[in-house]
Amino acid sequence: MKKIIHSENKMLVILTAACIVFFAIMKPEFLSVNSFSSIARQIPEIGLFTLAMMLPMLVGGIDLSIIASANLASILMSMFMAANIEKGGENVLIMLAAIVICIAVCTFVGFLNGVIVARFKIPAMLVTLGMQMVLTGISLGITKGGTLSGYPESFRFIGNGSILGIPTQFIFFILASAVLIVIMQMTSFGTRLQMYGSNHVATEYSGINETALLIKTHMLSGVYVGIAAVIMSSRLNSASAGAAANYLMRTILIAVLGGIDPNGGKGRVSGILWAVVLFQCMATGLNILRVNSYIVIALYGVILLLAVIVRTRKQL
Amino acid sequence: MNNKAAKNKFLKSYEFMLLCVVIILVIILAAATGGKSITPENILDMLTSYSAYGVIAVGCLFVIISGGIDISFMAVAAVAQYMAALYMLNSGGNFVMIYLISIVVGAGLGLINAVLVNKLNVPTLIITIATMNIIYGLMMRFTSGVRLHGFPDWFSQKTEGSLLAVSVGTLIAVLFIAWFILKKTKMGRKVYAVGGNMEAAKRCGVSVLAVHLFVYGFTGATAGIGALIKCYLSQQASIEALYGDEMDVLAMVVLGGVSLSGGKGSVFGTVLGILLVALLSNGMILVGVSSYWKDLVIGAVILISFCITGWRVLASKKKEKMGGAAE
Amino acid sequence: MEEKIIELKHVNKHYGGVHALKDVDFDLNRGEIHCLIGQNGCGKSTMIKVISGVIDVDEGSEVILDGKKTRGGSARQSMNNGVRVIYQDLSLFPNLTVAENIAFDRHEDKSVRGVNWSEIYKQAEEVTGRMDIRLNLESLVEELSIADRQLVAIARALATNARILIMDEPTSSLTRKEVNVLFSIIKSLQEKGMTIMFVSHKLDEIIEIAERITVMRDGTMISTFENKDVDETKLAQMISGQEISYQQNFVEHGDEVILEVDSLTCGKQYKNISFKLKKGEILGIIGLLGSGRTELASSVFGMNEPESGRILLHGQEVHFKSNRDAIANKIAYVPEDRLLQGLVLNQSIENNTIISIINKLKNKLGMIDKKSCRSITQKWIDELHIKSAVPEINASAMSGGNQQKIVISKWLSTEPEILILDQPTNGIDIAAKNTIYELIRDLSRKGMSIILISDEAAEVYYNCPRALVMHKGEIVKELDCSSITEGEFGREVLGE
Repeated sequence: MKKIIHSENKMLVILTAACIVFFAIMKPEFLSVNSFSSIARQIPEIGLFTLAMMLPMLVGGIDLSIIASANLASILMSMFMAANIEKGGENVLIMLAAIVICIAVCTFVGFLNGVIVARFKIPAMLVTLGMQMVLTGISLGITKGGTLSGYPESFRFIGNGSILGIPTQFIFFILASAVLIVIMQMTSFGTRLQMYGSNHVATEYSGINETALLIKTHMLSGVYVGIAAVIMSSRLNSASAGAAANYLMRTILIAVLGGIDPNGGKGRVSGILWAVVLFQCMATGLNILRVNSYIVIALYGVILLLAVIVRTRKQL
Repeated sequence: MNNKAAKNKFLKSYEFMLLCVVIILVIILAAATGGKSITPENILDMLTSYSAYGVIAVGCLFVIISGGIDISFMAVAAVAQYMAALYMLNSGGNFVMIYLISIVVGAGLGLINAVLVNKLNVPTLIITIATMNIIYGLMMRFTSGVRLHGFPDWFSQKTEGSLLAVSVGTLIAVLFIAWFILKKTKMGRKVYAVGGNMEAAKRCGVSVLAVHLFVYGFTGATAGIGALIKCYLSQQASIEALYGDEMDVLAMVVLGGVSLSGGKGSVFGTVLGILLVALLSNGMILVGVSSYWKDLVIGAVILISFCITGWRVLASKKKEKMGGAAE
Repeated sequence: MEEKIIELKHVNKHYGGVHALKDVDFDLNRGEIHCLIGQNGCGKSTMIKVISGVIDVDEGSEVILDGKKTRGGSARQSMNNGVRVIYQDLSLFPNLTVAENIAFDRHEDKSVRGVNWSEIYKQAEEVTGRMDIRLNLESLVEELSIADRQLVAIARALATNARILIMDEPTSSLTRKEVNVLFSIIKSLQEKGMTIMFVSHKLDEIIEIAERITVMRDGTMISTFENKDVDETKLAQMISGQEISYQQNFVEHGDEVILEVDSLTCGKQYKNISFKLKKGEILGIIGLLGSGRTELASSVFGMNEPESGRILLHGQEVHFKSNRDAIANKIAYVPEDRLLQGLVLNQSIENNTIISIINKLKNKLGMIDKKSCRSITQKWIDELHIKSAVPEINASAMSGGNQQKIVISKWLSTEPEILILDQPTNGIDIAAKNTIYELIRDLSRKGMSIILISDEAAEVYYNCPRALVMHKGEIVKELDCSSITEGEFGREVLGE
């Protein structure tokens, strides 16, 4: 019998509960259907981006290009739909093709990141920083700094509709998370990835193909960026070069909060899931309390520092 | 000193390659713009507008040599700029005082980074992301992002001379100070030592905390100075004008040939990095390419330079193994 | 009367749960050359840290320097005490020039103002002149060979006015000629009043240079001798703690040649290596650090592409692009550095055991077959008698000997024909060593061919019928261990 709450995640669950109780006392309307459905709508995007961030962090790297990649893919997806579906029209096939394009673009970006990191042995941080510039540059060049908006209704359903009262994107998120849990826990790729992150020298000595592993990790991360991009673009009903810029820091925050060791190796998907819930409860709560949004940014910085301190203490 | 050996070494260095790229770029741009790019006005204009970020890049160079990275510097710069601007608006002041204020404020915030970096065993990127958000968030909360302008006459009445002195003059002074520190002071050498082999530095009695305090403090100080230059050029203190431009600065340092794992990098390389970024951006405007493509071009140049650097490292490792490097 | 410069009384030191030093008494006389000897992991490095003052000792322990009780705690403390250590990893700055590395302490010397490059070069020249060595002072240390780096490290220690100089395995990659230079430097330093502690495991060198010799084993001080009272055999017994209870216990092996290496050459690392390995044979390769032994092994294992020459398996020439090819050809390699290259410490024993065969353990859905992972791991835990091992716990929780068994079981699960063991008993206590030797013999009885690489003469002598001596990248001789005594073997290895 598997434990539902892994012992490493206990603290996160307690914190989430404390968070809910705190906000409920401060503002009883926090316990409304509205705020919970808002939480459920927000979680998928940030959660998927965090999962995408988690993968390179597990192998001791980081990916600073995820948001830029998502924005470029959204722009291309939007242009593809605009070119093939007349305004106000619907075409599910074209829409699906657009989604595939979006995910493929992000996967390809991941592939490029992986190739440069693995082949030239350049730290992922620098590679993805450069990549972020390139991608933002392309997005800016295409859109001239503007925003593309207006999607077919069927596409907007992904980020705004619901099935049986559950927001559509939340269902996608649960599915995508479940797939990643399976990949991490039950496939040889998952095991190799974690082994590599803990000690890449010993893993190489054991006959693991380092180059292939790194490229695959970044590509898988790209797939999750792509899914996040579809959901985000659909919810916002727009695409632009500068969308969601503040997500990057949050994904790192949630990843560290969820127990990903910034030096590589340790971390589990379930930790991320709990951390996303905790984070979103907090974000929504602070919003309901009308805390100044800049104070919230500063608060996230403080929480990131605290998370880092607590997580590294544990190892000692 | 063996001059010939030194010369050979230089010819093989990354800096030399970069110098060639810069020269070729100058020639291409001159040809493409029919000489417009090499008129004295354009050169001065280009240098003036890139001096602010150039100054900050010098600070980043120190952090990267010491084996870390700092991305909080723009938030730090914004605070320093705001403080100096507030001081000018309230009590007039003079150049000495505002320089002093930006340096002290910048360095003070840098010291916070230093302590965190020293005490926590976490990538410096993550630490400075956290401090960046804290500083930026608090800053925006208390200023509401309001721009400050309408400075006293001594600050707002620019002459061509004062403009050059404040921008390019400061840049040259900071470059000289940085070169002097790195080459001629013990602290400078210890920065290289910590970046090269931190454990060995500890064993030699080097206080790594002191080095971190110095390095992050220095970066903060240059951020303050850079922000002041920017304020002088644009005659306003604005958070948005700085925040978000981290990559433009990092691009200069990274292109200047710092080692990707610390311990290497030179002021000369950074000068070339600054020139390269300035030339590319300025050249694109002159040639008539939309400035929206600027990020793409600089980012692509960065990625290409990484690949070349990485490839060279791998090739030299192979050469060493085969004994080809022995003389 | 000898004057004691430093004295340790009842010194204990714990690291977490490890009792690294157990009630140690030790002293250094002013102006003597004192050797500290013992196997890897016997507590030598902890001793160095205590004597140099870098770490503090447990409560109740006493460290007396110049008659005054002191406490350790920092590198600066040790420098102030006038103690300099040349660490085995050399602790150099790869990105700085030779001259600056040598004169680095100027940067920490308060009486020196600023950085004066001509002074730095002058000082470096003076020290290298004193040592009678030639180094290009302007090159970066990362451009130097390992032997030259060692000289730089020694030069750096000599550049300061240390009173006590501690050298941790300083000769491990030096040629005999360079060792002679070092020894004459040490003697001349001694004449100038320097106290020198020399840590090594090379008996001949110790007998040659030391005035007093202290033997350590498993964190305890065995005894201290005057040089004239001991010889190599006696020292060897003291170190291992066994009255040569070893018996040569060779396993018969067949004649079928499994592996043939034919004039294999790889740049500066090794040249013209040829040997044959037969089915079920345990072939010893004995050589020091830097002799090319590890580089040769990694070439056979496909991790270090040779320049020229051939590797033949069952008479067929093979070219390995990576170690995956080697593993597919049933070659396994237990690397030298167990903690870095062998194990992923903070992962489970199970993951460490199956990592090399993980792609074969898939079920029909492409998922890992958890059941067979578990049963394979449990099988090796039982078969190799890995004590107190549970598949789920992290490898870091195991002792050195058991960790090595986990590494070995990882490779045994790939069902290799050829097993290369590089320094398999590094830092492992005597009892565990013996079980590993037993295991090796057992495997060879089952027909596995084994290459045992070591720098311990006894390890090779008692386990390998045939041994190759490697020196400076070449096989200098082949020895038949059954026809000579251990003493003769040792002398042959040393090249006397």
